[in-house]
Amino acid sequence: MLKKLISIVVIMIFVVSLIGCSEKEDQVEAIKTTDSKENSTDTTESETNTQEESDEKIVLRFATWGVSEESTSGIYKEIEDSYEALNPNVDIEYIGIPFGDIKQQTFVMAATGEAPDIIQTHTAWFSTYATSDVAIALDDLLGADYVNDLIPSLKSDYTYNGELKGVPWAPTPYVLYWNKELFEQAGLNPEQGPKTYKEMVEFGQAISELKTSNGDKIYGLGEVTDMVPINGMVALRNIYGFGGSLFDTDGKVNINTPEVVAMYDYYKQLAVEELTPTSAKLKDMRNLFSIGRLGMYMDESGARNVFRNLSGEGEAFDAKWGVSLVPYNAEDKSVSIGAAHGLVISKDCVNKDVAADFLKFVTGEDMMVAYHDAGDVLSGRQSLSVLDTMVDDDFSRVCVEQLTKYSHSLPANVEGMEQAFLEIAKSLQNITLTDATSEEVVAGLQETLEDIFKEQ
Amino acid sequence: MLKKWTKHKQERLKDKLFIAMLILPAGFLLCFAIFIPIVKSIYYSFFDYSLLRISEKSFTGLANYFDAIKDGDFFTSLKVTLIYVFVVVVIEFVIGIILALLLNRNFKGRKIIRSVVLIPWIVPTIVVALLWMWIFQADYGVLNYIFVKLGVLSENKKWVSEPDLALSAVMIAALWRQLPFMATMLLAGMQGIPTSMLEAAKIDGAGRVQLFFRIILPFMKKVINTVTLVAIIENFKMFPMFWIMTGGGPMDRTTTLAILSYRTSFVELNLGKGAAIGVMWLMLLVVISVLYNKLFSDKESEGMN
Repeated sequence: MLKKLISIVVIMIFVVSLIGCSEKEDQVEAIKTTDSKENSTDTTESETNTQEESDEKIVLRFATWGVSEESTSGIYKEIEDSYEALNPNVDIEYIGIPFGDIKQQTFVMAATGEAPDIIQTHTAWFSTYATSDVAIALDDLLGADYVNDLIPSLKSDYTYNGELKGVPWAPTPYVLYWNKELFEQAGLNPEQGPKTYKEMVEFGQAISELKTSNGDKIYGLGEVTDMVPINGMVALRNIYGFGGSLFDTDGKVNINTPEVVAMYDYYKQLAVEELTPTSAKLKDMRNLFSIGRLGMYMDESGARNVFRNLSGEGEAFDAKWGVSLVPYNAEDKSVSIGAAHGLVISKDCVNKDVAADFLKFVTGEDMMVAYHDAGDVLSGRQSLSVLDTMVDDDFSRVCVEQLTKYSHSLPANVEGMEQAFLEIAKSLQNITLTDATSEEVVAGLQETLEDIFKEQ
Repeated sequence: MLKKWTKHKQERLKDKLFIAMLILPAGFLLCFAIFIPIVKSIYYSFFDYSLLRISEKSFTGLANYFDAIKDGDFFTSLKVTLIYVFVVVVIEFVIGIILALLLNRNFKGRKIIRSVVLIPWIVPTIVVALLWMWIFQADYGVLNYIFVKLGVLSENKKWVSEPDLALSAVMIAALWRQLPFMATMLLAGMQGIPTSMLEAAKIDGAGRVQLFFRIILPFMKKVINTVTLVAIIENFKMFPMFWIMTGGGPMDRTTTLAILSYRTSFVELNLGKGAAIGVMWLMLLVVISVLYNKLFSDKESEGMN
């Protein structure tokens, strides 16, 4: 009998607490949605005034990975404070989501009609937003002057079907970094990077002969090949550099060409001669470079800060490496791609004009200069990218030159592009980890990509 | 007589109501946490439902199922999943029972060792995956460092990036994480064996091997059935270990059904096809569990006969 009584009491507590929780949630919801007058009965006058003020505020929900990262959280705070100071009726509410999860989480939120107003995105998966009904067209909201000021290659990367569907916020080109100490040890001129791909491979071979004082291997020339979409996108830098392309002029998949085969031969050589670590992520390259076990590799402009942290030497480490434009290859000029953290406005955004105004503010001069100082990002706007405050040292000069003069735009955004990038990354593993020939890999990739894009 | 019968009936009804009240909260939670998502997944699997175009959802019957099977990725992933589950569960059971036998002995510091053995099980799977990813790192991982220093390896091995090694690397990490659970459960089962039975067998002249196969194992049949089934289910649906350590690579060599379903749903954003893969995966798990239980119960009834 006593057992029964205790059980009933426990169940009652459980049920009551469940009801209590749901009531509490309802109350929170009610506070958000109901008019302040309805709530005023139990509150003091001052509380009522505060409530009225907050009810009038426009809340912009901004999903981003940067706010949760130590290196960039400061600039996000500055953006929030500055914008709210200028616009007291707007409340910026960050939703921190990790880099690797932001796409799927925001799409799931969008499926329930609760997409954040503004979403941070990356070029590697922007096509997925662009081709969906989540991202809205921004041309009219931002105005022709703003849209025409965007760097053409980046504008193209953020356009779908002739409409601008996102704003390139923190663009960065891929440039060549080299370790001066390793160059010197290999008998190379530490102040001069390679001019051509052929020279770059030769330099890499010379550096790969070296060992660390502990006898550890030193890689000469790194290329990322881990199986993630972003690495497939990064490989386009080489596809273009070798004179190849993803699509022909008619928009058909055009991978099975001698140029692309030559590109895969290049990867094969790097793997067979162990010039590069295989299946490596970008963070592996950064680690190896910072600890003096990688001679050269290509990375974003933001890598400078990463080296400073990883090496443990801070700014002093800057003297140990050099930076240059991507070496010449099949074409008579440097060819690279630009990647950019972008911003999109979602279909669920109620105050689209305010969101567009916020985008202009974030990509405006003050905030971009502050972001540049904090994290070496460049500007996606032509008028700002060349400002003295943005091009304030030799390093920035090289990065801006690469971005504005020698960056190839990515293929036009179409549905399936992210899967295509993933398949390219997979094919890079195939060429670097197995005995497959470049011709076999390229033929297989052509077939796979045709299958992905068959309905386009 | 009638009054007594009515009273008895009323008491039984009260008991039933009481049981229902006890089950209700758990049933309510289970319904929200398990049944509704399952039913929703089955429902979505019959639709062309993409997160790219949320408003457009059309009924396509079994098209998603045919599509998933036709791709070929499904069977490749199924093969990887089955190999992984079989190898991990078998090794886990063998090492687990050896460990349980050792921990069941009387020795100094037994209690401390039993607690220490449990540590990997306390660590969350995600942390274990990250930990082993760094241990296996080809260029600055501690495993290569030790093996090369000891002369076991002449050069660094690419544990998680070599197609032929990656699955084994994930298996090792999974074993490290799950072994304590298996060993502890088996140890609990072992401690439930009546000592009189063991002593009687010893008096009858049974050796260690006979004791193990004739007394210990038969007595532990129900525990073994339960823990191995739990291990099968746990590994069949394993996701974080693969996603963090290899992401399904290199070249899909570690792409399990869990990874395939996730990738289809959240990289391709094809929820319909992802749900179809998930449903087939669930059905397989149910079939395997039922067959496994039937196999054990048949053997059990044979033994009883």
